[in-house]
Order: sequence, then C-alpha cells, then structure tokens
Amino acid sequence: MTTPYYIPETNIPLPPVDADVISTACDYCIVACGYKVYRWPVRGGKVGGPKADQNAFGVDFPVEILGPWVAPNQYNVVLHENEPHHVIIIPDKDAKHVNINGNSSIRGGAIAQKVYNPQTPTRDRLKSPMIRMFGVLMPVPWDFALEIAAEVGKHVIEKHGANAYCVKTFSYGYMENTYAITKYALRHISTANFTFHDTPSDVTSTPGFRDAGFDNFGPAYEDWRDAETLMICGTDPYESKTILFTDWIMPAIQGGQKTIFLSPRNTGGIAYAVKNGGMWIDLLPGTDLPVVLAIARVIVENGWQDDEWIRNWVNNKSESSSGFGQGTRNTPWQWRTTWGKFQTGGFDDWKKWLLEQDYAVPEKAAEIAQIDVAKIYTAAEWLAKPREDGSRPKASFMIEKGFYWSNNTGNTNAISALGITCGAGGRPGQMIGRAGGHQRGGLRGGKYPRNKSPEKLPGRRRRAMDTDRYLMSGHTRLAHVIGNTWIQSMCGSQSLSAKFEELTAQNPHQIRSFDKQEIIETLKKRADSGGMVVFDQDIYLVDPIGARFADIIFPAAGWGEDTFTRANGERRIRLYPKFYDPPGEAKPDWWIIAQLSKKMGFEGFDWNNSNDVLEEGARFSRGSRKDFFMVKVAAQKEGKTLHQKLGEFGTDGIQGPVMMLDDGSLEGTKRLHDTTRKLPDDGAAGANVFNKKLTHFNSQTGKCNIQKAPWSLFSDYWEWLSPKGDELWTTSGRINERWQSGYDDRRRPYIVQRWPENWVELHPDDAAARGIENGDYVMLYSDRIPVQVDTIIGIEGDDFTFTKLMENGHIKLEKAAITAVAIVTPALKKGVMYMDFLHTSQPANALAGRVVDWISGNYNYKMGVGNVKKIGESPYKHDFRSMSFARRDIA
Amino acid sequence: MAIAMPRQDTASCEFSELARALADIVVNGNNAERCLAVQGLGKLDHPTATDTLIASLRDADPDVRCDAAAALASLNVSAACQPLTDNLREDPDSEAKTQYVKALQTLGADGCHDLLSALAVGRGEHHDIAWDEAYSDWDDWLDVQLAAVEALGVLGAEQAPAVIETALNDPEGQDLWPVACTALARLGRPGMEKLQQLLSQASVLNRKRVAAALAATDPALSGALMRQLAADRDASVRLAVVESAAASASDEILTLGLDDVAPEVRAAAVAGLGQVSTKALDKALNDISPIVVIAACKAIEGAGQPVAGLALVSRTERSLRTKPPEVIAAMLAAAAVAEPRQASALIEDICDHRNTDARVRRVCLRAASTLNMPGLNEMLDQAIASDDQAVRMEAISALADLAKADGPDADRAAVQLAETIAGAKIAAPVGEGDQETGTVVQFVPKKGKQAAGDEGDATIKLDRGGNEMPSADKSDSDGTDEAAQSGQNVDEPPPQSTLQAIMAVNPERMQAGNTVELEDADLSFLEMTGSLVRRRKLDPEAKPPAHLDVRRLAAGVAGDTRKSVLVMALARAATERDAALSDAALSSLRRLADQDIDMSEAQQDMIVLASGNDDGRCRQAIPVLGAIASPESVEAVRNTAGHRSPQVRAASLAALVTAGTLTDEEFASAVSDPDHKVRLAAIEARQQTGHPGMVALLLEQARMESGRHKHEVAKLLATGPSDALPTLTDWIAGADTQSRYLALEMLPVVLAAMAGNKEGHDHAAAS
Repeated sequence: MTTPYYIPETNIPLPPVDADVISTACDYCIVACGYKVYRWPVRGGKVGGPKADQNAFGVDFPVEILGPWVAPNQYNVVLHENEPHHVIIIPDKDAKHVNINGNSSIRGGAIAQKVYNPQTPTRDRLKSPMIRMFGVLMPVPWDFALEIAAEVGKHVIEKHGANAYCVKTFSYGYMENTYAITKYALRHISTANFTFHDTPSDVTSTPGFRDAGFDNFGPAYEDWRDAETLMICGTDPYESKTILFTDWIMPAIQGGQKTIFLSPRNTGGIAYAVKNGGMWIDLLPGTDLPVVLAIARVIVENGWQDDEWIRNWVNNKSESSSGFGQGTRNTPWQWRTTWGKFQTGGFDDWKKWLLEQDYAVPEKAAEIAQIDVAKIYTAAEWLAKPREDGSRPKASFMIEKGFYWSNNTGNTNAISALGITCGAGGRPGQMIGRAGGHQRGGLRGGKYPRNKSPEKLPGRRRRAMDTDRYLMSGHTRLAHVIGNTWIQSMCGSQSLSAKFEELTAQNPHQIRSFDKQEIIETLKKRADSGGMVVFDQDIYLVDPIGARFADIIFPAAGWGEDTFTRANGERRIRLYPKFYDPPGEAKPDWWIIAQLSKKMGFEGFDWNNSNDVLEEGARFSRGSRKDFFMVKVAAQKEGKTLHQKLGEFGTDGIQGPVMMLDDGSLEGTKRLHDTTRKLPDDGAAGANVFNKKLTHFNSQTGKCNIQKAPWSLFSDYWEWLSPKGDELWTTSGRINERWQSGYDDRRRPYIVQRWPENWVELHPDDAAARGIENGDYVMLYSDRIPVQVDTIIGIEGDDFTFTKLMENGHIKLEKAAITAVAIVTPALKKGVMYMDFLHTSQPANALAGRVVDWISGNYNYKMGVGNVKKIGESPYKHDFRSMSFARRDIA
Repeated sequence: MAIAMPRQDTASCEFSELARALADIVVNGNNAERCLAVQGLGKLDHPTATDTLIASLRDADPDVRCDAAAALASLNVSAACQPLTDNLREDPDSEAKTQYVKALQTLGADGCHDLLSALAVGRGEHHDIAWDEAYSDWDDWLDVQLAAVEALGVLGAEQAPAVIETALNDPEGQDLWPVACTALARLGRPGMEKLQQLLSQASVLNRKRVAAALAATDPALSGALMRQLAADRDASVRLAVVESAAASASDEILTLGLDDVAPEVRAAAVAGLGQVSTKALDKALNDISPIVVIAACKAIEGAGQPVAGLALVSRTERSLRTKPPEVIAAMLAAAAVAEPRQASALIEDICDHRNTDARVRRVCLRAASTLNMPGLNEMLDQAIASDDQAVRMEAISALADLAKADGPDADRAAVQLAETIAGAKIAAPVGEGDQETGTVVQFVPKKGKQAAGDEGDATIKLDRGGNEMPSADKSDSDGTDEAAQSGQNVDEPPPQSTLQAIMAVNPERMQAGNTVELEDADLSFLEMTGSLVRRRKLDPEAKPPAHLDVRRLAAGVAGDTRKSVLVMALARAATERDAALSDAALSSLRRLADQDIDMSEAQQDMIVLASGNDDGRCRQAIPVLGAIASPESVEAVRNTAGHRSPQVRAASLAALVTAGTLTDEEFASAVSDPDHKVRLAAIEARQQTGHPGMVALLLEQARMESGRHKHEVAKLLATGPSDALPTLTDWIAGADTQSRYLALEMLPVVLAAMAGNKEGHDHAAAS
C-alpha cells in the first residue's frame, strides 16, 4: 500500500564524465565500507548521459543487476566552496577490501541523505552558536559564545577544581577531533570527570580481554570468514554490521562454517545460520557466564582442550605471577589478579577451579539460563572436539555489547578462558575479539588523571570516576557534552534527566540579559550555587541535553564537512575527505576545542587545519593498535601532508599498526597477536615500533592469562534484578535500519515511516497473558530501578558488591516508565522484552539498572526489568501505512 | 598550599595528638585512609609530620607516594629533595614520577638537573631510570617529559637550553614547543639566545609560540627578539608579538604595530596601547579597515573621558551611510564618551528619523541611557515595542539601569518598568490573553471523510513548534479571518505530507505543489505525531510573542533595581498564569528582598502563593516572605514547614533563617528530616549564620548515608572550627572505620578554616 506522506523521487541526474570522484568510507557502523562521492556543479546544468562515454561510471544504462546504478537515496545537492553541487554517494564497486565489489547496508546505502540540504529534513542542522537567554536559545557570534564559555570554564576550574569540569564526549568521531578533545580535557584541564559516550567511566569495555592479553580488535575480517566454528555472543552482525555478515560470514556459513549464537533474541542472521546448520543458544539476559563456563567444562572433562597451544601460549604458575618492570607492581591488570578473585596458577589451576563450580555444570547452567542443555554439549563439540584424524576445528570467538554489557567483567573473563582452551587468539581463523559497534576514531591527547579520581576500590588504586554518579552527587558544575545524548544513553536515564533538570533549568540563576559580562556572572553564580552549566557541541539540537538543559550550543561539522581520519573494526585506517561545506557557521570539533582552549589560555592549539591536528597526534598513536606514525614519516619523506599520504590508500586504507620496510614502503598489520608472523630478527629500524601485541599477547610475559570468572561477584545483582511477580526482563539492541540515536534516521522519510516510534518485542505467551497484540500501545514501567548513588571510596573488601551497596544505602530505587508499540513474536525468549537501544524519546535505558559492574566500572546496559501493560491501540495496529509487525527472524 | 599556622599553634597539645593519630594511620591504616592521612599531614604543618611524609615516599601504594610528594612540596621541606630525586629515578610509576618532578620544581631542588635532563630527552633507561612496562595506548614518558622540560626552566638549570633544543629536535617526539618556549623564556639571557637561534628554522606556528612566550618576560631582556618577530614576514607572528607586547607593556613594539601593513596587527596595537595619542587615534579612525576603527573606538570608550580634537560625532554622522553597522555602533559608543554633548543630538536624530540596524539602535539606547538624554523615556517606550527582541532587551535593560539610580528620573524609569511588567506597553493580540502562540499550520480533512461519531471540528492546528493548538469554536474553524484575528499567519499553506508536519515545514516546497487532502487515518497519525513533536520541542529559533516577551524581560531585570514601586507589579505578575512570567517575577522579588527593600506590598500575594497548590510558586514565594519577616509572613512560612514537598520544606527552613527566627529545635528537626534535601538545606542555611553548635548531631548527620552531606557539614563546622576539632581528632583516633574515614575527609576544610585560609577552604571543599 502506498503512503500519502512518503513519495520517493524517481529520477536523479547521472554524473558527467568530468565529475570529481572522491574516495571515502561510510560514516556509520564499525565495518566502514568504502564509498565514492561523485560531485559536479549545478551551475551550467550539466549532467551525465546514459551511454558509457557520457557518464562518470563509464557504463551504459540501464546497467546489469548489481551494477553501478544509483538510487534516489544516493543523490543530494550540497554547497561546495559556496556553490551548489550535485553529489552521488555510492559504495565503491572497485573495493578490494571490506565491502568487496561494492555491497552496502541499508544504512550506508542511503548515506547521501545524511548531508545537509535545506530542502530536506536535515534543514534543522545547527548552524550557529547559541546561548539560552530568557529561556530561549538565541544565535550569537562564535566569539561571543566562546568567550563566555571560556570565562565560565576558567572560573569553574579555579573555584571548584578541575574535576568540577566534566567532559562527556564521543570516542569515535575521527582522530583529529578526539585528539583535540582529549588534549583539552586530559592534558590541559586535567579533569578526572571525563568519559566517553557509552560508559560512565573512562575504563576498558572488556576487562576480561585486557587481563587475558587480547586486544579488542585484533582479528581481521577474514579471520571470521576462515573460522570453522564461529561463536558469536551478544550480537547479530547482520542487524548491526551488515556487510561483515553478508560479505564475510554468510559465505563461510555457505561453505560449512558452524555458527553458534548466544542471544535471547532470534534475528535474520541467526535464522540464516540455524537454517544452514548453525545453533542459537537462547539464554536469559545476564546468564552467559554459566553457559560459557559449562561449555568449557565439557571441553576439559573430555580432554578436548588444545594442549599444545596452552603449553606454548598460556602463562603457567610462575609466569602468572611474574613482574611488571621494576619495583612496585600496580597496574590495572595486576590489582585484579593479585586480589585473588581472578588470577590462576595456569591452565591446570584454572581447570581445577572450574570443575569446583556448580554453576558450570551443564545441567545447572542450562537451568540458570533456561536453555536446552544439549546445546551446551553440542557447542563444546563444535568448538573443540578433535576430528578422527586428530586435527582440531579452527574456532573463533566474536563478542559484542549484548554479551559484555550484561556481566561485564565476568563474561569477558569467561569467554577469554573458553577461547584459550580452544586454542584461539593468535592464528588465522582462530581469533578472539569484538565485532565492534562504531568505528575507531579515538586518538589520545592526554592521559586520564586517575589519581585525581575520588573513587578508590578497597585496597586498590583509584579507579576512573563514575561521571554519572559524580553529577548526581552535585559535584559537576560544568558539563561539556560533545556529540552524544548522554542522558538517554545511560542506564536509569529518567532519574539522570531529573537531576539535570534540577541542576540547570530549576536553578535560580538563569540568563536574563544579553550582556556578555552579565551572562558570564550569571553562569558563574549558577555553578557556585551548586547548580550546573551545560555546553553542548553537536550537529543537531538534541533533546533534552541541548534543547532543554544546554546554556551554550556549539554547532559542529561532521562527515564530509572537513577532512578526517578513522579506522574500522579490523584497524583499517582511511581518509574521509571534505567534499562539501558545513552548514552555516558550523565548525569541526577540533576547531571549536582549539578556539575555546586558546581563549582559556591553553597553549598548543594553533592548528590551521585538520591535517595539522593529525600530524601532531601521530606521535601519540605509536605503539597503539592504530599506530600510523610511520605514514607521517613517509609523508614527510615524500614532501606530502599526512592527509595527502593517507588519501593515496583510497578505500583500501591501511591496517594499523603500520610499519615502514627497509625500502621505504609501508606495510599494514593484518591481525594482532599473530603468533605466525615473523618480524625482522634485528628488531625495529628507524621510528618503527615493534609492540609486543604484534606477535604476542598484551600481558606481562606475552602469553595469555587464563582467569577465573566467579559467578558470585555478579549473581547477587542478577538474582535481585531477576523478574519478580509479573515483571519481565527488558533488554535492548540495534536494528538494521537505524544507526545510534537515529539522529540521521529521524530525518529520513522512509525510516521515519518504517519506525516512527520505539517498539517492544514480546513473546506471544507473555503478550497473551497481558492481553497485548501486535500494534498495541504498551507502557513499560517499573518502580524498582536500582540506581547507585554517591561517590564513595571502598574501605572494606566488599563495599562495592551490590549487596553491600544496598545495605549501606547507596542503592535507591527509582521509578521509570516508557511507552512503545508492541510487536508480538516468537523470535524472543519467553520472559524477555526487547527494544531499540537508543530511541531518544522512548529510551529503553530508562528501565536498565544504573549499577556499575563493580570490578570494571561499566554499566550492564542490557539488563533491566519491568512490567508491561496495554494502554491502547496505536495507529499502526490496523493500518499497513507505517510500521510492520512481520517477523524479522527469517532466512 | 599548606595552611600557614604559627608553629607554636600547631605544636600545641591538641595538634600533636592529631598529628600522632594521622601518622598512625599512615603506617597502619588501609590504603584509602592512608592517602587522606598523608594529605592531612600536608595541611597540618606539624613538626613531627616531615619524617612521616618522607618515609611515605617509600610507601607501597603509589597514590600515597604521590600525596606525600605533594605534601612535602606544599610544606616546603627542603630535606625531601634528595629522597624525591632518588624516587624519581627508582619509582617505576609514571604518575608518581610526574608528581616528584613537580615537587622538586616547587622546592627549587638543584641536585636533580641531570636526571631531569635525561627525562627531557628520553626514558633515561641508560641512567637506570625505572619504568613500569607500558600497558596501554598511552606512552607514560610523555607526561614526565613535559614536566621535566618545565622544571628545567623553572629551576634555571645550566644545561637546560641545550637539553631543550635536543628534545625539540627529536623527530619522533611530541610537540614540545609551547612548554619549551615558556621554559626557555624563563631562563633569562641564555634562554633568549637559544630562542633566537631556534627562530631561524622555526615554522610560523612555532614563531608564534616564541612570541607568545615573551609575554611574561622583561622587555629589556626580550627586546631584540621581539623586534625581530615584529618584522616577521608572517602577519600572524607579528600579531602574536604585538599581543605579547601588550601583556608585557612594551610600548616600543606596540608603536611599531600601529604602522603595520596588516589591519589585525594595527588593531591589536591600538588595543594594546590603550592610552593612545590623539594623533594616533585620528590615524586609526581614518583607517580603511573596520577592525582598526573599531579598536580605536573601543580605546576611546575604555578611556571613559571626553577627548578633544577628534570630531568623532561629525565623523560618525558622515559615516552613517557608508560604514557597516558594527563600525557605526562602535563610533557612536565612543562618541558618547568622547563628545557627550554633541553625541546627544546625533543619537536623538538617529532614533527619531533613521531606520537603522538593530545593533546601532541598541548602542543608541545604551548611550542615551548613559547620557540621560531628554526624551529618553519616550525613546525607551518606542524601543520596548520594537520587533527586534535584542532592541527590546536593550531598552528594558536600560530602564533597569536607570531605575537603579536615585532621583526623579530613576523613579520615572521604575514606573515605566512597572507598567511594562503589568503589560501596559504592548497589548496582547485579541483573543490570546497571555497564551503563547506562534505561526499556525492548519490541517483540513477531506470533506465527507470525517471520522464517524466525531461531531466536532476535525481540524488540527499545529504551531511552528509542532504543538497542537487548543481547539477553537466551530465558527473559528475555517476561513482566514479568524486566523488573522488571532495573529496567525494566514499565508501559511498546508503541508504536502504528514511527514512535513512532523518535521519543520518547508514553505517553499509547500507552495510548489497542490493541496493534499488527508484521510481519517492521517488525522489519527497526526494526533500521535503531534504528541511526539510536542515532546521534542526542537525548534531552536522559536521566539516568544512580543507582548509576553517584554513582560518577562522586565520582570526578570526588575530585581536588580532598588525601587519599591516595582514590588506590587512583580507580586501581581507572580500570580499570573504564564509560568515564565511568574518565575521571572518571583526571582526578582527575591532579589529585591535581598536588598532590604520594603516588600510589604507583596505580602498578601506571597501568602496566597505560599498556601496554594502550586509547589513551584510556593517554594519561590517563601523566601520573599522570609525577607518581609513580619509576624504574618513568618507565620505563613512556618505553616509550610510540614509541607508535603521537600523542596518547599527546605525553602521554609531557609526563609526562617533569613527572618532570623529559626529555633534550635527547628534546626535539629530539619537536620533529622526524612528527605535529604531538607537536611542539606538546614546545614547550608546554618552556614550563613555560622557557629554550628550541636557538633555531635552534625557529625552524625555527616555519617548518614555514607557521608553524602559530609562536605556541607564540614563547611558548617568550619564556621566554628575550634569546637569541631576535638571531636574530629577523637574520630580520627577512634576504632570505627567509617567515622575515621569521614573525619579524615573533613579535616582539611576545618583546618583551612582555622588558618583563615579561604583558598585552602575552597580548594578542600571542592576536592
């Protein structure tokens, strides 16, 4: 049925033969497919023709199936050097990596609709700085806004200390920007009140990986393809990393790869795997640890472990305890291991511990997770049972947020141990890593000042500050929010929102003047009175952080609006060139930070362009997984800029860490921890860095640490949280059609039509018991959202356990309610509800418990509980105009 | 900084007992409290603290070692130099290393120059400098290197210029130029020579950094270098050196800058010189570059006194048609200062006869207000009704400024302000009352397709923000006359699609196509989307209607005046429906109350609000009642002490403190209130009056909820620190872990108060 409100275009112009062709990559998911931008001026009315010699593609139209045809969603009009230009943005049909031959996801395929065009729904991009005066955000000049921000920032730091200045920023929005932001926050302000978009504290997302010695992004995409058994935990790559699935995993499944999925929700990718001989382990949220350990138990009980690998690459008792350099040992890894909860004396010690754990008995684990116990035995066989000829299956392990955000430390410890047991981690097709969410654009410009953090775990060093709790305790006087929604993306989001409201909108010191000095004084008074000032730096006005709470808005420039650099999920570094002008006075984040820094009196921000920033930052990538320092060295040798040199790699890019060979050529790194790789015997030459992680693991000896994963550190929280009475588990995740908070998708007619609101999937039995049908409006609500409050220092050994926090009054039970449209589907585990993870007006995180993993400091976002009831019928229930309730778990 | 208490005081018995207890914790406590104890010893400056702190440099916990180094530096313990130098070499922890460098720098240590030099150029492993193995994406040495370069400059190390040059030339190194330039500039002549040498190969950016580093140097020493930079081929370098010259008051360089070819340099030179000769100003005012003219005008304005010989008014008059508005605005502002008498006539002429840019009008209003020109009130009245919100704000702000003074003009301005608050200046559009509206988009259903059973008008009206408008009478539902009456934009065409209703509607597109007839399903869809859009409210350019806007503005600024004539107008406005108006009025009433204005005229309205159902207004009315402090108002406040809303109870408590009528019983009761906001309000309110009393009760309160309110309690105890110290010492020496920890956290605040050290107090409170 057609709709009256979305009428797609039917005709678009073809690029003429002399159109500019610019190589870039998609802005969305971790896969970062290669794209090409075709650009030519509107002036003169020149367009390409249907003959091969008349258009820039060099093909006759109509083209063959999957040829370089162009959809209306791949066309737009932009301003380039202040002149209107046509642009066509399509996947690179010549790509030799990532999206080979130019495949694309539904997100990237329509990326042309992302660019600013005042004739499209992107018209509400932020175009000038704004200050909230008399309750209204009013456009002001850059200098006006920056001078006020700098004065207030300096005052807050001077009067209330550096920690009163909070910087909450994206971690991925290109290396030029993240370098500038972290240099500002960590080196110059030196605030411990700093973290990234997806976590309350600046801590590792996968503590178990780090402790075991695995880099998150060690594998290459071909490792996922070359595995004979692939265990995928907490994600369906088809939904969230489409090309990784369709171009790398699907062909492997067709070739016989056995794929095991751990997830409470069935999806298209899982259905495809199951249909082709794979398996879905449909566990309850938060129960991965017992299931993973039970699989490991079956393996070791049968003696299927990879003994040779373990002998060569796993620390034994003395190696586990060996030192870090000289003197006092006190690294994050060490305090966790010496604490005694995780460290083992090698594989045998770990095996002994494992066999003593009753929850790792398959039948018990299956009972906790509510799964068929046979699946545990089957998984163990697929992963590790040697074939008759004695050869072993090549097993790889992929995890993502559904897994590591539902028992952060425990799950990542457990999967590391299982992988090690199967001989995975350091060989082609036998790797362990994250699938990834967003692209990797982080580049540190300073070190986190951990010793300034007020949080200290019992008997251990200080831990990065929980910025949410610090704010809730009223210590944050200035919140500088850069490119993220903060509130909806954190657990217990509605209580956090209420606190923001109290500290900003309800504070008596509101700007009631247009005079710069009076504005400064008002904001200073706000901060001094216990309130909070908010700066928001973004491309769109975000509700509520920008629309309701921000005092100063800085409009940012994004993808295609300046030249940037970023890496993908296999560390492939690519240039994202500027191809059009940002809207109005919007500026890239590095520029905004540089101007603000200079006005605050900070040195070292005199960059003229984004290449200057990256060239300075290149030094700080040395030794990291994205080490591109040698690209800069090569560029200088050739008299080029770093950006020019990176641009030469086109959509192929180059995988970090990058090395320079004797002949001056550059070589990337296919995979980290590659135990099969041979480096020159005479060591690193020139400025090359031979980091241990290239051929070994990130541990004290270069071998893996196999660690315990005690269920008891987490089970008290899990049991308390588990549904009581009529409650159901609530969990959340991505869907194929939407990216992140939907900031672009909300401005795409088709996506708005397809997903106009958040939705909740329910199992048919759960729905029937509550009288809920497809298309009903439902309310999800709870009055027992556990919210951890107060910034405290642990004194006794168990001060941070959930039980003790509860006893000591550090857990408050808050209320939350959100609405959604019901989708009734057997694809979901009974007893579980599932929503889109970051819908800003109906945030699923409102129901997720705001209690951090007490070892790592991360949230377990994927675990919440709530009641659900029907509140009426949505307009979509009897109308096929907008939402669809068709099953998504189809192959 | 350590607290500067006389030795005899800190050596007294009670401090000795405290120092002993702290030292005992450093040795025997758990890691968390040992850090605090070391910090406490650093604040205490007791004779026995030094040995404990030096021993703590060898503590197993790096955090303790860091804190000990900082404490020794703040106590200026020169005996710590050698142990700190040893630690710098032997301690593998990079955070501790950085702290040692800073401590050595503070202490002026001279035996560590070689070690610092080694760290400035590398990890110094050949000097047996220990390091933890790098374990993250960050190279720990980089932080230590920066600290070492800075310390070499501060300590004046002989080898520093050569070492810094080596570090700068490291092809794999980080960008050290900013810190290196500062360090070299601190080194005096040898540093200047090195900077001059480095300039020959330096990039534009680094030449700018050299120029910036000279800002804090003696011009006699840096003169040659500055002159060299002032002749640099790059304008941005010349600009940087002129800015440095302004900071170091080097008039020679600034005078050179006046003749620079780059306008931004000339402008900076004018601004930097401040007191410029009439000749120089005349030249600058004739400059072809607007930024130089503006800089000259600002210099004149900043001087704040008449200037003869510039003929600024006639220049301005001649420029009205030729120069951009920002230049005219600057010239007018300067003219009002330099030639006030002649300026009045020009301003009057502009306001009466010229349709000028809003920026110019704003300057005119400001100048007219400053000059107190005849006819000012009429001019302001006219401006209040302006279409431009910035002009309205300027006019109202000018009124408020006038009203702040004494005399008949000020009284008249206050009356005008009161009239504005009351809504007498701009009438509300007919039929709107005080309801905020905006441009309206109407959606008309296809005839004959109205939903069954829906007997009302199915038209849905959304304003520009996507908000659904209240439904009108049936007779108002169609045609454009009614829309015109209510101020709606009748030219606004209907959207082509419901999608456009969700998003901000594009008028150009809407005009391009035919009218779309919507069906029933669309209407229900629209109802739902209207609700969604309402929730988002994302229109950043939304402006309030003028009649309401001026009332809100006036109500907001009225609190800055000292005129009782405004009290009644504000009190009435506080009771009106519009929340923003009411909030602004109540806020102003509170500010007036703080200035000891007679608020009795507001009493009745405030009592009504305080006893009403609107908790928000109740909470805001209570402080006004507290300021009135009459028996009736105090009674009304007391009536709210048991209010259901914690915020209201907290306000009630604070108001009783303001009225000076809070009893100890009421304070004790509030400190025990079930809601923490009330408890916190009680503690904060008592801070204003000082003399905490009830130390034990307060400490118990601090201990509640694991010390949630400890900082506020500490600040309250700091108002009577002598009373608090014995109890704190007991807790620190006691066996209860939680109490001990809490006391350790509160100790610095109390000690700071005892030393009368405001800086220390603030710092401790903030930390």
